[in-house]
Amino acid sequence: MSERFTQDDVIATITRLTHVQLVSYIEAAFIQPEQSDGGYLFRQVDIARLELLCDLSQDLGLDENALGVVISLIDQLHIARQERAAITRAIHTLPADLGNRILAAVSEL
Amino acid sequence: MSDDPYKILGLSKTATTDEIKQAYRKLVRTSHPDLHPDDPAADARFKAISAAHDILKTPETRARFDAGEIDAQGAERPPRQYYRDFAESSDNVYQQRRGFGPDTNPGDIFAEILRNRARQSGGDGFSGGGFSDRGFVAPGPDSHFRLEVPFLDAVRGADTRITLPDGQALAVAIPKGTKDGQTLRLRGKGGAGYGGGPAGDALIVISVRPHPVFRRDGDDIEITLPITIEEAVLGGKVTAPTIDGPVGLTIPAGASSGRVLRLRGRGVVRAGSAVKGDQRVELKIVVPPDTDDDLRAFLAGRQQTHPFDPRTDLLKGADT
Repeated sequence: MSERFTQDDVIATITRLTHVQLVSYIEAAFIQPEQSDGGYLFRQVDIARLELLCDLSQDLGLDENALGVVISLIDQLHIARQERAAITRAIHTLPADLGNRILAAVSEL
Repeated sequence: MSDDPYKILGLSKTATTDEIKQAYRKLVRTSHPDLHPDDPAADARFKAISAAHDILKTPETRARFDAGEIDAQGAERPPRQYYRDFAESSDNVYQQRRGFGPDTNPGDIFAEILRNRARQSGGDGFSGGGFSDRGFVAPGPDSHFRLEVPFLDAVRGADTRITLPDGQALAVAIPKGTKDGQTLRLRGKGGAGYGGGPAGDALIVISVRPHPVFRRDGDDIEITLPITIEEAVLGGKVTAPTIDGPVGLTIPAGASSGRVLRLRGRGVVRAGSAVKGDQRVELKIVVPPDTDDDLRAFLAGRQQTHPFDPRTDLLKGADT
C-alpha cells in the first residue's frame, strides 16, 4: 500500500499552501483525500495535484472559478489520453492487417 | 539552455516587475508539464523558467543577481513530481470517472452505454440530457469520494458514513469481501439532476487499511501463527485467530516453521458469491525468550546422539 500523509504533513511539504487554502480545495472537491478516523489522509498523487493547483492559482493568478474549469479540463484530458492509449493497445493485439486497416481508416477521417 | 534568467524569460535587464510577472505567466502557460502532458521537453523548460523566476521575482534577489552576488544556479530547484506523472497510474482516483475496473458489475457498463446512447441521440428527457417539452433536462453529475476502511470491516462488511464537503453525512454500506481499490456506486446519491432529471451517483473508492494480524490474498486470509518447540515436535491443539473469532487448530506432530495449515471456509465470503475463501495459517516456531539450562543441556546431549542437518539438500542444490 502506498504512503499516506496527514494534513499537517501536506502543509509542511508544500510550503506555499495554507490550511485555509487546502480546506477550500477539499470543499470545492478539487482534491479528494481519503477519510479516516484521524482526519484526512493524502496520497502522493494528491500532493502533486496540490502543487499544480498552487502553480495555477499563485503563479497564473487563477481564481477559484477558473481553477475549477482548468482542473476539470485537465482531468478530462487525461481520461481522453488514457482511453486513446487503451484503444491503441487494443489495436496492437489485433491481427496486423486488421490493425493497419483501422489505422488507415483513422487517418482518412 | 542559457543560464541567464533574463534571457530564459525573454527579457532585458531593464524589465519591470510587472513585465517579469507577465513573461513568467506566459511561459508557464506554454511549458507547465501538467498543461502539456504530451510534451516531454516541458519538464526541463519549466524547471529553467521557475529557477529564473525565483531569482527575478523579488527585487532583493534580483538586485543580488545583478550585482553578481548570486549566480543563476542559486535558485536550483529540487526535482519535483508533476501531476501528469500520476495520471497514467491505475489507482489515480481523479481519472476513474468512466473507467471500468475488474470489479465493475457488467450491468453498470451496459447502463452507461445506454445512457451515452440516449445522450447522443438527443435524449428522451429521462436517461440522457436534452431539451424536452419541459425545458432542459439532464441527470446530475456523479460525485466522487475516497474512504479508508479498517481491514475487518472490509472483509466482514460494515455500515459507515462519509462526510460530504458540505458537512452532510452519507450512509455507506460496505459489502462483505470488499477489496482494496474497489469502487462502490451509490445510485442517486450524487449531484441533483437538472430540470427534474435523475440525480447522479456517488462513487466511493475504498482503500483497505492493513491489519497487524490478517493479510488477504484473493478470497483467502493469511496469518502467521507462532508455536512453541514442544508444539512443533509433539503436535497439539492450539487456538488460532480468524476474521470471525478464535477457533481450535490441531498442529500435526513434527511441524516445521513455514508449514501452512488450511482452515477451510474461514476466509472471505464475497457478497453475492457462494465461494468461501480459506484461512491459511503459516506456522512459525518461537524459542522462549529465556532458555533455561535444562533445555540447553538436553539439546546439547541430543545433538551428539542424533545428528540431523536440514541444510544437506540446500547445499547440494546450491552447487548445481
